[in-house]
Amino acid sequence: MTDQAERHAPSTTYSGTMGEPAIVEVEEEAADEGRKAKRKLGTFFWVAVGFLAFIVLAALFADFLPLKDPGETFRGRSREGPTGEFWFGNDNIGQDIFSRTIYGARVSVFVAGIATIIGIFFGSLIGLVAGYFRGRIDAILTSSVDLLLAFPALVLALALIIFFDNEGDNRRFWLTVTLGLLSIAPIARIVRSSVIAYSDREFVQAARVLGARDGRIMFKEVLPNVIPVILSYSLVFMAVLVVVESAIGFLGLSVPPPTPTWGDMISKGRNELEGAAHISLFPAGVLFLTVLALNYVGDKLREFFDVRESVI
Amino acid sequence: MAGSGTAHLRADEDVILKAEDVVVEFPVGNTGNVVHAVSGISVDLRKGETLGLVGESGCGKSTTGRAILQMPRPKSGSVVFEDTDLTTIEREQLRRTRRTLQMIFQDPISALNPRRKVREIVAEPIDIWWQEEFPRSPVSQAFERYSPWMTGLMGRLWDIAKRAMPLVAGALVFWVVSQAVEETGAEDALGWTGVAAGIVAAVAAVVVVPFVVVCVVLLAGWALLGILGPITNIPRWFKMRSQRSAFNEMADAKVREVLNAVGIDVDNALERRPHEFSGGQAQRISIARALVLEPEVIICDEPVSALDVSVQAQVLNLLEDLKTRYGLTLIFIAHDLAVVKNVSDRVAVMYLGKMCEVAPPDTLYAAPAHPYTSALLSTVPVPDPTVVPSTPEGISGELPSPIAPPSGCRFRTRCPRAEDRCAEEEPAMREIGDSHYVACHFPLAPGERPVSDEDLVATGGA
Amino acid sequence: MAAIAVIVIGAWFLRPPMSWTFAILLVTGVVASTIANGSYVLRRLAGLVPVLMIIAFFTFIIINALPGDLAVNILGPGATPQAVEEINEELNLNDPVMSRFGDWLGDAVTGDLGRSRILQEDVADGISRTFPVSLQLMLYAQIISIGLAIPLGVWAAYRAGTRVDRAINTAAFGFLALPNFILAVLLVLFFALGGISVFGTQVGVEWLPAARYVAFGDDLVLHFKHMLLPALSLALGQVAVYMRLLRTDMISTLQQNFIDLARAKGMSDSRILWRHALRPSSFTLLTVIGLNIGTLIGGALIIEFIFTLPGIGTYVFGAIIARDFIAIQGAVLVISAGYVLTLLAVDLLYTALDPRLRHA
Repeated sequence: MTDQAERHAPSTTYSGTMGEPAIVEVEEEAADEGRKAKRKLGTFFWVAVGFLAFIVLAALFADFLPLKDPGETFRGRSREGPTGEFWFGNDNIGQDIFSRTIYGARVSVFVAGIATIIGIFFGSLIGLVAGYFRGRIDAILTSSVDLLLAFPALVLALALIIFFDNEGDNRRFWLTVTLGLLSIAPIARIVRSSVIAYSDREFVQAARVLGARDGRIMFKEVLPNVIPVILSYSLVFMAVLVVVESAIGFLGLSVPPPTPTWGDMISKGRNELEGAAHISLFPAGVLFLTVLALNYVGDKLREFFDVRESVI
Repeated sequence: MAGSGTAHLRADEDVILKAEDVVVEFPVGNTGNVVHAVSGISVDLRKGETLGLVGESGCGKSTTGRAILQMPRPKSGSVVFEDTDLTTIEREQLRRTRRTLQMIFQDPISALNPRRKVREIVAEPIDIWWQEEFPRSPVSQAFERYSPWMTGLMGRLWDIAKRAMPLVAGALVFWVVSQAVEETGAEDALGWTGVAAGIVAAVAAVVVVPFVVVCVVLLAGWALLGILGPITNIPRWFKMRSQRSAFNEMADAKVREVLNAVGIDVDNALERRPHEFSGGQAQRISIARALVLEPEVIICDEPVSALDVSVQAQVLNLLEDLKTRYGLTLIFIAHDLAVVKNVSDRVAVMYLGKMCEVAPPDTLYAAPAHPYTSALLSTVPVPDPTVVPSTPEGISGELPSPIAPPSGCRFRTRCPRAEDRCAEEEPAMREIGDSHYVACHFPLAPGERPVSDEDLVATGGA
Repeated sequence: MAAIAVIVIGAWFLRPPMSWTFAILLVTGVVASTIANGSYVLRRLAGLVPVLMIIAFFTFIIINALPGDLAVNILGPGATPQAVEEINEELNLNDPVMSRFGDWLGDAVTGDLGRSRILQEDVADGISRTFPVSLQLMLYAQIISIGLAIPLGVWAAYRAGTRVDRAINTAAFGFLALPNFILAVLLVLFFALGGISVFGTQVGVEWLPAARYVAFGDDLVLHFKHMLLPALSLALGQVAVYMRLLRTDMISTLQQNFIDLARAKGMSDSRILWRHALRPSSFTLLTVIGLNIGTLIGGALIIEFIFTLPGIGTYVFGAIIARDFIAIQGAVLVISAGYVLTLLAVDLLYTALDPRLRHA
């Protein structure tokens, strides 16, 4: 805007239209174009989105895909490397690693996905209320959140899972609930700080002058501005939770066998690292790519929505 | 300057808004100090009049404007609007009154929500008040009604619990000592610590625990009501939905009407977002949003300061037009005297939270009576290249801190005419001419300058 | 206030084996900031008391408010009523929860965290046996990651926008997405087990041991050999985090006027980078390092598990698997307290480094 004003100033002086001051309100076209140029998502973004879509769809429709039975042991094929029939090879008892990896995505992706949704829902609500009302409500909520953060998350998760679900009958459910509960506090913190950045803005005051109720201001004025932040962080959070779920599986406390999970597959393959490293490496690679894709998409979205990193 | 007093208030029946002795103070962190932002300002407004409010930045003029809207509520004083005192009515009643009192903000871009389309922004006020016609569920009404009470109580209990925390810490330390003593097997030597710990712990438990418990129960109840509210409102939502399309048509017509009135190309603008507009256009949209509720009074908080000079005139003319067309009453806040002169019927000059001078613009500009007004006027640039720009005559030094304002007349520390009396006695508003009021012990006579020419020479003609 | 701190510290010292780490943390905090402002430190320390108490309360409640009979939980479903009764007697489970909490906390503040039935040892002894291993691991990981991250971050910031910068950034992004247990598996595969054969060529070496812990005092060289892979597994992910943080802050520092001035005076680039730009750019980094140290006190569980290191993570994991509630309570309390104390120490260090914050 300033740039433009400077560039326009001499031209009006010399053009000699002194009689009628030609007052033209120029739209900020240049600035707009700059914004568009910056807002390109790029090829890699779509590749990453495609990969994530593939993982999610394959996990959803695994039963209908022409996959081998993940529990079937193929005799004489133990520890065999990748072949045309078994793309990722076979594990130590001859099961198809490719099919097990796809089925394993079910546990990881859905536990992490639903846990993220639980965390986002309650975390955003707490963050929104604390950041919008400020004052003592904020003090009470923030101190509780800080206290929760002082507990070692993984230890607490493991302990809760073992306590609530001793026998592993309902592991999937309790895993989701526990991880969801544990992600409320950090999400609430992030949402709160970005709500604070918006709730002093003049459009919020304007809404108040118009007679809007607090609830309406929170959900119609503040929340739409915070949603991009929540959205891009939710992907990063989901990545963290995918890793946590796999770690729990690695320790043998995720959904018990025969259900395949990534963590369990990697852990089982550790005994075969000498000679048949592919048993660990393929599920590990898919896990890595999933986390990478989630991080990348989250990062790009943050750039796209112009979310400043400092909100942490 | 600066004085208190209400001599300049008029007793007419035409006065629709009267603010008397409004005081606004803000705490400075936890230091216990307060910023005296506004200290006893009185203004009144006749129907259809424009009041200009001028002063340096930081003098409290915007705060005065907001205090009239109760954002935040003033510490003391009254704001009477059409026979209702806004400072004493309940929150809900205040919210309902606000539709007739609107405001236009300084930064037009940040006054518009960047994530919403112009159509939604301008229709928002009508939508808010249309939705009010559908009664909310009792649960949600109860939440609205008791929420401030509950949060207030929670806060107070939390404060008490927090203050009592050292007591808990003390009890714990006693406990540690008694346990440690017991552990080492030397009970007899220090048996009293256990008793003391017991007493302190009991006191702590009696003081802290109930507060924390009540606080948590309140929080849970509050959250429960807050979550139940929207759920019980589902039937209301369906009812609204069935009438939505009829409303949308009505709203669309209204939105188009006001956008036309403020000179926005309606068809192009409706589906766009605020960042696609220039400052001037965004300010027009803000004005349209304020107009849509057909308010009686609009408070314009430096509406043109953030705009290019070329656009300022357009927006000012627009306000002038709208004023006659919609029968508006305006409070026009600005730091630019030239701008205020052209739009106002009456101008009030403020300095450091106090009123200096009130007069019709022509009188004020021709014969300023207050040394501060005179100084301000001397800073207005004259469109004549032969005139050497002057610095404010006789004004020196910085604006004093509003945390510890000077005694007596607040302007005395920078006033060339200040005498001992100014430090002791605060000047009150008095009439010195036809509807010309000033708060100064030694006002200037018409044509007089605050400092004599000899003085100017003596100080190097600065 | 001073008296309170002395008493608290003194009480911890009544049980020397497990409290020395806390003593170190406390003393570091106090020393770091008596330089800054004595009474401020004590005020903060006193403020910790209720926080620690609430943490203890929650730890206790979580375990004791669980569904089902605690005694049955401990003994397993096949327990005889007699055994259940015995346990109830032994652990005072028939008393009300609040009174048990009082007893437990009273013991805990004097360093008695109860006795583990499974390991047949005091929880406090178990923790003081395992805690030093975790501290060593954390320390080595931090040294490696800071040692790698600072030069990389400075270099990337200096060459911002060039191919070097982009390469470093891409690599960092990759490492961020590599969970540390996968990294551990890879490191073991390529540095301990001889790697994999690619088209007949063996990629990888057998330089380092794959697991097990050798104490510092037993064999110094072997100790570091055994700790290298676990420390690297923790460090490499953090290098990425630290390097990205430092790069961002450094780039904004390098755009400031005093850097232009230094350049105009003819100062060499390396002197500008290391002497003038690094220090003002390292504050965010410091905070995050502090947070990481706090988290790592209990967060290296999985790495300790993979490399069979007898750290507190392994201890608490064993306790969880064995449903050894008393050990879990104690360990969670110690880990949380360690986290809170580390955060305080970092906060105080910050105050000591940046005088502007002292009175804010």
